[in-house]
Amino acid sequence: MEIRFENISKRYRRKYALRDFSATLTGGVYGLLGANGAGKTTLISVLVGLARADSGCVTVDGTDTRALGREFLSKIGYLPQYPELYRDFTVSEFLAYMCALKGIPSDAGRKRARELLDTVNLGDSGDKKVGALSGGMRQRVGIVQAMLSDPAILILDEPTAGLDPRERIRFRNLITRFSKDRMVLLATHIVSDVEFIANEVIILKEGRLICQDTPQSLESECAGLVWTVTVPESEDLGQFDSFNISNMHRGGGTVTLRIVSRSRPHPAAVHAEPNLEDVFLSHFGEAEV
Amino acid sequence: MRLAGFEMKKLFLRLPILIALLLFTVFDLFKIAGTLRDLSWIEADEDWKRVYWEQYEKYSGEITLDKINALLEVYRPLEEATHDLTATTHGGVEGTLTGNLYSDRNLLERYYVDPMERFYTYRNSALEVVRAARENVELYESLGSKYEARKNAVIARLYSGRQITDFYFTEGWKLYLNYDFSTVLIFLLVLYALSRSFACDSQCRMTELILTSAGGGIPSVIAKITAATAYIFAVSVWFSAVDFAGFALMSNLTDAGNMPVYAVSGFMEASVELTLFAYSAAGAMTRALGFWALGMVFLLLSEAGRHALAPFALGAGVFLLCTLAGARWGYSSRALFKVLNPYSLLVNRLLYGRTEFVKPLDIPVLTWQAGLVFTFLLGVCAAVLALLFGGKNKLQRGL
Repeated sequence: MEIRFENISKRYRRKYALRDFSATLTGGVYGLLGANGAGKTTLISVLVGLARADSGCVTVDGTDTRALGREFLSKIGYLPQYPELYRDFTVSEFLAYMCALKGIPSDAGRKRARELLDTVNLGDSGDKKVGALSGGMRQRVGIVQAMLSDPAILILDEPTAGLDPRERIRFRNLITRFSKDRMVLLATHIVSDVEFIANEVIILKEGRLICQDTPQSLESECAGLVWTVTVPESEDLGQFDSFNISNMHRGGGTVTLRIVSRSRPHPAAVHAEPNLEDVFLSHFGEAEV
Repeated sequence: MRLAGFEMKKLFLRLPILIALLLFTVFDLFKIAGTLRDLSWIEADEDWKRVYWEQYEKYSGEITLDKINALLEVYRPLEEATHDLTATTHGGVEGTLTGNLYSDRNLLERYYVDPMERFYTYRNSALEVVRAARENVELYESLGSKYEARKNAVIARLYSGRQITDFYFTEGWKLYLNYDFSTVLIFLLVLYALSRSFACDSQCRMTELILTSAGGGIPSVIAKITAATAYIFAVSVWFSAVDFAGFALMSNLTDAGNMPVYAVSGFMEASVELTLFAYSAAGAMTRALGFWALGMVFLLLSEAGRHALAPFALGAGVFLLCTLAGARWGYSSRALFKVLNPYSLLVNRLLYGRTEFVKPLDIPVLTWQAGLVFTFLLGVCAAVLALLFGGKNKLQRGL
């Protein structure tokens, strides 16, 4: 399957949320990275039909999604940002409702929901009210509903926002499990969410595509730009204000800084192995993140 | 249908609504008891009640000259004794029914003489209406006024053959047919439940999930409309049944149930030929239809806000306007205002209790017929608008 975004533009009043965005997705896990307001949710909204692009089109295997209509919707599983779901429904009722919405027969839906709930470790929560679930459990119910129809494309918008670290790791692992034989588009502004699970990363800035490549390639593009430097605590840290500092660690009377910079930021600075966070920082700058 | 079932559960089969339904049912029964106590003289006074039902055996059933004479034999002396207000006002007078001459006279006059006279003379009044209407038909035909001629022909047809042959207790029916408290209760339940129809989805941020599901969008709005329709009819019919059962148990509706609706005072000019039993069923369905149309408007309004408060306030405003318009023009001769107001279906004696016409395309149409059609169309329009504005995925074409 191939999804192609062709020159997508979308404006809200005078501000462009997306501008001439073009990309091709062929399979695997795609991490859609960008700062808040970069256009990630707008791009997903255009893809799933919640927003209409002012110009450009999205095609699936060469056919415009607008022509596919419901057929395309039946291929996707979507988890929007911060879904609260119906608090008065039990988990089972909610999933049965989602099956009805997706046109999945009751019996098949019940079976599928049970399997998926077991997969996400919520096998014994079917009778619990959605309102009684923690944020992480609710997100897991959210991904279960997205997976009900065994979709070819799984679209997740900021699925780990608001989750504690343990739940985030658990959720990331779930995404990896569910990514087998399907395309996953994962929008986030949390770099670590995609760093280890994405086959390709798409970076958006102010509605434009900045780059699209594998994490390794993106990291290698940053080779030579990442530095670490350890200075005594007594040294004036103001000298680093003009640099993009990706990390700062204080301990043992010294301060260790990780800096993304084209030039050596300090005589004692040494090159470090770049990671995706450094790539992100090199594109957005510290102030924008 | 599966989706409609879930919508039913999501919006209506909720604890607050079920508790409200239960409480309102109890309120309704208390209000019925209060209405009977406040407005029925025989329910308010134990002596009257006892005497009325003692005499009832003698005078109820088919109206005959023997019964009329027997009644007047008791009533005339009482009338004579009390007409100049010189009779004793003390109680405990021997040979009286209630112990007081004035009380006896009032009881017989109000509950036997006046109604029996009205029933007995109704046939002649109806014949007079038919005669006058037929004369009018000829007159207007000669003047070339087709509309008036047609209208009088309808009146002549409607009133011909009208008569009341039996005497039964109809006060319970009169109070029942004029009882409106449950209409307010239904309104509250309908507005409360429906104003959150769409707001509930956006509050839970479910709209995105619904619209991006293959069966979301239009099918889910249709499911909402179906569930809302079932809910409105269920609640309306429930309260109509509670009203009927309440009045039947606390008063007496069964004896007069097969009498024509025009036997009840206030309905002598009724525009329908129905027994009281049939009329109560028709009235219940009419009220349900009125609430359905208003419910569809509330459903449409619920798309207006992310929270249920704005749709609730808007819906309450709409109902208030309808009620004020109903109070202002409901009893006037401005028939069109009644037809165009769904409130007339909620308090449907405004439509059925009088023979009035509106004239679309110069054709005389009874107000109840026009009211039913207009309100139904209003509901359909609101439902279609709810469908159009109810959220649609941009990838879906058409409806």
